[in-house]
Amino acid sequence: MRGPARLLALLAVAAATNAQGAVAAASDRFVPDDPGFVVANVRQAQPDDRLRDLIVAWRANPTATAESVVLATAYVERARALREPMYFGRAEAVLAPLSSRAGAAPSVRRLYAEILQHRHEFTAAEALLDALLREYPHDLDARLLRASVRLVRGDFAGARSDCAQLAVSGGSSATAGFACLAEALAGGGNLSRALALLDSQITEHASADSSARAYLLATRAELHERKGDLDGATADYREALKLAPRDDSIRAALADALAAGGEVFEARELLAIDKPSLGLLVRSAALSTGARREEFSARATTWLTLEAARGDAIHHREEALLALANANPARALAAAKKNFEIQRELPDVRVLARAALAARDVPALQALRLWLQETGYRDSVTESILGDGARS
Amino acid sequence: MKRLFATLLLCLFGTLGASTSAFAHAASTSFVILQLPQGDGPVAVRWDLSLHDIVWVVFVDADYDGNVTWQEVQDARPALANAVLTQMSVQRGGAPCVLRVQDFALATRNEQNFLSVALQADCPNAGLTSVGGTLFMSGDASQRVLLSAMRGEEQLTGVLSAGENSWVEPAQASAWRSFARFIGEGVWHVLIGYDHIAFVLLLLLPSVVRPVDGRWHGATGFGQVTRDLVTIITAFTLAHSITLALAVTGTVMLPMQPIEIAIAASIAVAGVVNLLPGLSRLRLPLAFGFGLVHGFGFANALSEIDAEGSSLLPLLAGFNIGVELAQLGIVALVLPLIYSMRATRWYAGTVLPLGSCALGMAGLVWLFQRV
Repeated sequence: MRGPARLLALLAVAAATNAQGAVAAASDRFVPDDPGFVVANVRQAQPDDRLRDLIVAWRANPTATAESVVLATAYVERARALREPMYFGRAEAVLAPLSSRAGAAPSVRRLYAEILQHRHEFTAAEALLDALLREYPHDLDARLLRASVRLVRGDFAGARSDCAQLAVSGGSSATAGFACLAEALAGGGNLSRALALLDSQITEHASADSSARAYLLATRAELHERKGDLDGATADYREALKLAPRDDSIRAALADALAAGGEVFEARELLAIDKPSLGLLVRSAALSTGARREEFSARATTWLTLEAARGDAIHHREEALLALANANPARALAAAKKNFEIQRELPDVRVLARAALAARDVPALQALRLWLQETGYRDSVTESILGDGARS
Repeated sequence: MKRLFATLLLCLFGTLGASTSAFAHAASTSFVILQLPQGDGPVAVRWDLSLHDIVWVVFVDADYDGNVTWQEVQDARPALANAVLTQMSVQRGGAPCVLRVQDFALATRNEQNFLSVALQADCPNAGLTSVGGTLFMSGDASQRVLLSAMRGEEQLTGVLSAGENSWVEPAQASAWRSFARFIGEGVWHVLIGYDHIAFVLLLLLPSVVRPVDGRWHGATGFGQVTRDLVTIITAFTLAHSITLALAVTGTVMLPMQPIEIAIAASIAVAGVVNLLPGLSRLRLPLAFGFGLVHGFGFANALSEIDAEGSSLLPLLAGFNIGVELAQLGIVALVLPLIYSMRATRWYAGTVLPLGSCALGMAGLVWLFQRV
């Protein structure tokens, strides 16, 4: 039994605090008058021909590593391409019988680590990759994966070591290694060197795959942003979004940069897409007023409540952003602190700083200041917030 | 080569950029709502399912255009009913129930239309109900079923997954059993709650002495000591009983961190008061005031206990009595010892100040840890 089954749920049947009760509460049933009424669009939920072939091959031999890995990889790719989380669940189900076996193949363990990352179980993912790399130190894919986990967790020194090994490995891994090294250097505060490295990578790979270029440009945009160069940041984010228009993370980052530069209207327009992610919804709530804000806020709250009832704890950053938008600094800080324990990317650092300042929580501001000092991490906005916090 | 480069960068970007915050909706979830009968009678079941999960089991999108219309749902009713009955099982009193589909409708949840299936489970036995089956979760490890069951006025909940795909109705505890259980929980909470023991000890230590000319002197007799203790402990008990009841019933909700900080502060302050005989008149208001704070702390401890199947009154009364029994136990253990030492010079000069100092310092340490 989860939390809601505990005392408060017992005492207050319809209490708002009972997330699951609220989620599971019956909404009105209806029967459409029009037989042509579209109940749902299931195109993204239905496997395409290629996937169907892979499923058939896998069902013929569900414990075979090769068929399982190919199908799970296809599911993960589909999850990313279609922004459909169910395919991560399907990939996990395919891998489950194999990943629990002692001595599972490296490809199975790598994919499983990727699924753990998706669930924001970074510690478990890193432990899995540590073990894999102890056995197979030359597994470059696993090393790149571990580097990315370390970057997300704010372990810039660890990431730098992995990225450097990739960079000297030669071939395409070296290119990915340089890109990752730029991120690790930036994490440690060496923004200028990181920018120079990214500049050279972007020039060198001018004709690269659009997703890869979008990644390089978005990474450089973030560095511009951290240096306080909003124009440079928005220019790179715009170009990155042109190359990867379905990428909500880049869209959210561009909206943040535009809003920071006072272009609130344009930021709002940018966020107004069909089926926005939770990250876009909370930003829409923050940038709107009146009934629109309430509508976005309600949609985001429904989403977060459902996840809480399911037992998923992956959207603390968005919870903090929403609480800030709704002028609830105590809740924002609690969520931002939880989030910072899990991930330490630029939006995580900033939301913690903003929440701590809004809550006037001096120890939280001091702890963040200490982390910046220890890692060397630099961000003009965070530094400005911490300066305000010190003066208040 | 270019493709490999892209794949490697995407691997990096997949984690960094296209994280879970970029998904278009939360992971797949279906909702089961049960109406549990009090005695004999069928179990009413409502199951709201996403078409995105159903299409992996039942071919509904007949024209394969991606859109499932209400007509297509109507046409697929036999297959849908068959699948629903295959995917869910209901038992009552240990015997399987016969499930029947009553009707299909739609329900809007989280901005999506769900297929809402009304079922009835006819059960040969009365007793506790359980729900299980594959529940359309096979093949998707992220799928969850959120179950909500009404038993009279009581709401029960459960979360089912492919790994834990059954829910069993918890037995309804008798009032007496709940009462007895929560007496034990109350005693246990005080015994493991070092901060609460520290505060009670700080209330207890000066009860065997009296302030005279700015110094502590041993109390003259047991009656005087008893009166003092009864007054102080009653004030503390009354106060924490009030706030415990207010918090547990949801009348007053306070965030936990400030409460935990205030509890630590109460220990530090009580330590200081014990060092200054001139402040002894503050002991009664402090016991009451800090009692209010400790009540919220008890409520937090109580909320951590799985209380499903219990009713409010026996639970609250039991927990409160358990707390009192534990407090009385501490008094019974410590009072004879300090009463026998009260007249000695080293009790007022050493035991009382050193004990208060040590406990007060502990309060300070907890205070800094909790800030």
